[in-house]
Amino acid sequence: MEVYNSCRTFSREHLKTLREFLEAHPHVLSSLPRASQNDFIRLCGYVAHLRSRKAVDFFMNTLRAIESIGSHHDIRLVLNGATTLGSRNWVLVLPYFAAAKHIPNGDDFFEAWLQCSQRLADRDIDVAVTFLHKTPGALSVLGKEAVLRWGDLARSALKTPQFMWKAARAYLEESVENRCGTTPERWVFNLEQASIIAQRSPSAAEEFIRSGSRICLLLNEEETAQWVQEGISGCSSTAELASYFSGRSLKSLDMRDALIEGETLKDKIGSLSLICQAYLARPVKIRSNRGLVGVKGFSFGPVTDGRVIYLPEVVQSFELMKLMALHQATLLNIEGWHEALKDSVAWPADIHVEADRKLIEIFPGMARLMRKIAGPLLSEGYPHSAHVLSSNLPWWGDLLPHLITETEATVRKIKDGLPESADLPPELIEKLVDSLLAQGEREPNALLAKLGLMLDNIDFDSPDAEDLGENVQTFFYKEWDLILSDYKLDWCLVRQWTPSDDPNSFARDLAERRKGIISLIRRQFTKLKPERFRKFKAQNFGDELDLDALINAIVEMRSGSFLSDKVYIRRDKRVRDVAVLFLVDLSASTEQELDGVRFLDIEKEAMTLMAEALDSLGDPFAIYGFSSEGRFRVDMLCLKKFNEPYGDSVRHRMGNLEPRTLTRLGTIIRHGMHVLEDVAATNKLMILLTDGRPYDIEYGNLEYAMADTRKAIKEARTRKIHPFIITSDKKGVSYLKQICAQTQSIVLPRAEILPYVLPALYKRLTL
Amino acid sequence: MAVKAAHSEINSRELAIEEFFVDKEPFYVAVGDEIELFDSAYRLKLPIMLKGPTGCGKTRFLAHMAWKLSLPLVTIACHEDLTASDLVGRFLLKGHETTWSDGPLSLAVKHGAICYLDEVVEARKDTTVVIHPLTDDRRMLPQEKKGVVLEAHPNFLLVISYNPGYQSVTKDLKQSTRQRFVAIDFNYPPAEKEQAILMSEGGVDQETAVRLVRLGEMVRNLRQHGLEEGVSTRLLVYAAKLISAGHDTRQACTAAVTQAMTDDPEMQETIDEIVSGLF
Repeated sequence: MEVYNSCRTFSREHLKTLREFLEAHPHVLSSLPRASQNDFIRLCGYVAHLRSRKAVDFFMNTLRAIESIGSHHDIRLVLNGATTLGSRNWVLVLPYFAAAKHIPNGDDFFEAWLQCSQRLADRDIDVAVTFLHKTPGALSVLGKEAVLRWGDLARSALKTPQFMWKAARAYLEESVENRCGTTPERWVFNLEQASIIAQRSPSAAEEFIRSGSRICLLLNEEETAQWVQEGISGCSSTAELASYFSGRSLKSLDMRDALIEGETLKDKIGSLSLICQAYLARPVKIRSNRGLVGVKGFSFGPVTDGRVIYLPEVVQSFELMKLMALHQATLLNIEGWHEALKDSVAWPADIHVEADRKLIEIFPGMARLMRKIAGPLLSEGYPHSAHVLSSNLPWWGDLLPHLITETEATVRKIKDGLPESADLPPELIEKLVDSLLAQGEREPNALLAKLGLMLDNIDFDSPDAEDLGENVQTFFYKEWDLILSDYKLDWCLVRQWTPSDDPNSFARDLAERRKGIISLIRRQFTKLKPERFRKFKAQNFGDELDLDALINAIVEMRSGSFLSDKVYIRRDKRVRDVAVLFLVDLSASTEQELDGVRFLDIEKEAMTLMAEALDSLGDPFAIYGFSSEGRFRVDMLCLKKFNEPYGDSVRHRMGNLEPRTLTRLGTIIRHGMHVLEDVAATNKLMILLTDGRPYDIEYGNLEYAMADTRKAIKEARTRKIHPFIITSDKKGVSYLKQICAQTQSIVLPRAEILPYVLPALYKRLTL
Repeated sequence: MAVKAAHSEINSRELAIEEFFVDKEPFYVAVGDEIELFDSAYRLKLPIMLKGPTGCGKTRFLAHMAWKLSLPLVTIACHEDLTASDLVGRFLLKGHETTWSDGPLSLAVKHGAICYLDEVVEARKDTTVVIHPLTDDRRMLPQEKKGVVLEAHPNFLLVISYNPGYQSVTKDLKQSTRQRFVAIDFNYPPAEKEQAILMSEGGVDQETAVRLVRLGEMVRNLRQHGLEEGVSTRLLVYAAKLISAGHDTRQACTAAVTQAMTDDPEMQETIDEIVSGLF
């Protein structure tokens, strides 16, 4: 048999194996054209170094591949290609056959594709194998022409194969899998970046191509390059590099967000939720999408889990962010798209276009915005005549049907899993679960544990009856929960009592020390004092006739003069109608000394001076001290009630004040509102003296405390109470802005000036 | 429309009751059975309280009813300084003698007009007490300073309006006052009626009206979040009027809705964004 002539180089053992195989399958050679028989034998020779068992497997698979391919392509051509590839490495042969089956017949494409594979194989075998493996997928996704470009790009990326093979392989896989987002031009750029990363760590370059580049989709090329540079210079170990370039480390996300010029979600979350609420007529929760890192299919864009809308933390413009939010809100309103997507009844793009169509129906102005943002991506009549879009639109984000079903299942599971004893309304549980989900926890058991802990805490922290003395009044108040976006009713317990009025010399000493200023303020304030219900006699307009004036007028008239018309009595009702409530911070931080004086002492001094002045003015006023220690121990120390006369006992109470614990500002303002509620005055003022930001046990982070305080102040204003905050905290400027308007707060440049500022301020506020 | 605010002019000259008739039909779209209810209350001589948020059509409804029943309508805008003698009347000096001048309430009582106390909670409580004897079966008004008691004309009807949106203790209606009235509850009209109102009153085309109504609905969805009340139909009409007068749509909405509704920057931003989405 002349075919064996070409086997001269085979080892004896290998020849024996082949001979046995061919004898067992006699039709093999006869089914091949004569010219190809040699090729087949050569192919078999490429595995001469393998053990006989593996070699036979290879023969067998080759045989099957040839059989299945025979009718589709010219077998000579295919075998010829196999030998060229096989001569480089035998591992290419079987993937080659598998891919060849899917190559469309006719024209020169097969030839071109084969050459492409060969050139890849020249640079790196692993990458070439991946290319062959992924060819069928790429053909269906990208199309014929693009497949060649796709392969060529990988080849050109392999300039330094020893560093880049991992990244190039990842590119071949990702660009086929990840159907959306990245354009070919962007891939060119990404691979360039990867080659830079690869100099430091090939694995990090691979990570960058696989996932890191996706978080950079929000950046333009220049910014991405900068992000890459920062990563390279900022990370030392390989592990660190890999985690940075995978885009899953906090550092990498922070760096990205720092590079994006645009709107941060944090600043806009309030108005976005309001817009969505106005749109959907129900409260909508919006959260950062960071909590979703690791969810399958999530590519760091906007997304929803059917309950909450998750948005990127930074977006180029507020307009885009708004569009993202509204697009997701529309998705929330479209029934059952996730089912349709799961059952492959609909394509993601169809659902997105549908959502855009609905959105524009309601908000016609959004069409303009979409065109502005998407530019040339968008055809003229979009979304009504949506022909094929070349890529996803920037505001679409991901559709994650499994996330929706999983979330639903999780919530159901938790509702079922809660112990009977937790006798809570289902809506409340749903809200609690929602807020936990929004924080990023998605695992049912962990959620259940967290929820259980929350519920336990509620029981555990209930107030002890014996704690409270006899003269203590208690009040429950609601609290605004930023995370729930809702009130927690009866959440905080205020305990109000009157502190001891043991005699002390505080007020007397003060009067001695500040003699000058006390009399000055008193004088100033007396001038403010209006004469109440004054009757103006002899007016030319009024309710009643002024008899004296009338008689005079008639006498004058009878004696020949004109009749004066100034004969009425008018009551002037422009009375000074101000009631003021002072709330004095007694938190532990007031212990701190500023230039040798405790802030508390400054407060006490200022308050006493103020009280003396107000007493002379006659405006009704009350003074309460506050401190708190968790939500069941919000203490209000009543120094002077509205209907209580100012006197020595008030002065003594003031003198006895000592620093206590923390500050739960929202609850304190709500109690202040309650106190002012019973006072009949047109202008109600609530002046808060404090030395720092709101802070308490279980009062969340600064943002939570701010949100609650801000809410409480809004409540007060709707009840026609004017809150005013005076703080000695220099950092106050930044957070006071979030709490209330600038006209309703003041930051003291130096705490010691408080005693002078307070009366002046009061005058200004009430005049 | 010839609805006169009586209070401010009362001292300068006596107004004849004829001047209080409503001579042209005021535009009004009925939302429910309020017209029938009012009719019956008028026939049964029951005082009426119109409840509802500001700008939803209470005053307009009343003008319409006055026209329909051919009754003069005396409107008194209540405020804090309104005294009992502002309502009932007072002595004035004229020439050599003092003459009595009837207040708007006395005028309405004598001539059988509808007396409308607009935003009655704004008046001081001691002032509102003078209407009590008019609201039960006595139907009379004592003029204490003159020493006479007026018996109400059979056509006389007392109507007050009241906005329950003010959730303030000091601004609430006393039970002894409120339990003297039958109440007709008003709310913002449903979408298609509001649309018709905007087209007729504001003179805008249907498309603009639909969008303005949608704006109204969306802003009303935010009532729990810092807005004391939803945007009134009146403000939407203003916006429509500005638009039909040739102003830019968004500018008109900013002026008539956003800025008119709130001073809160976040809320303003939200409403402006909604407007820019709608137009």
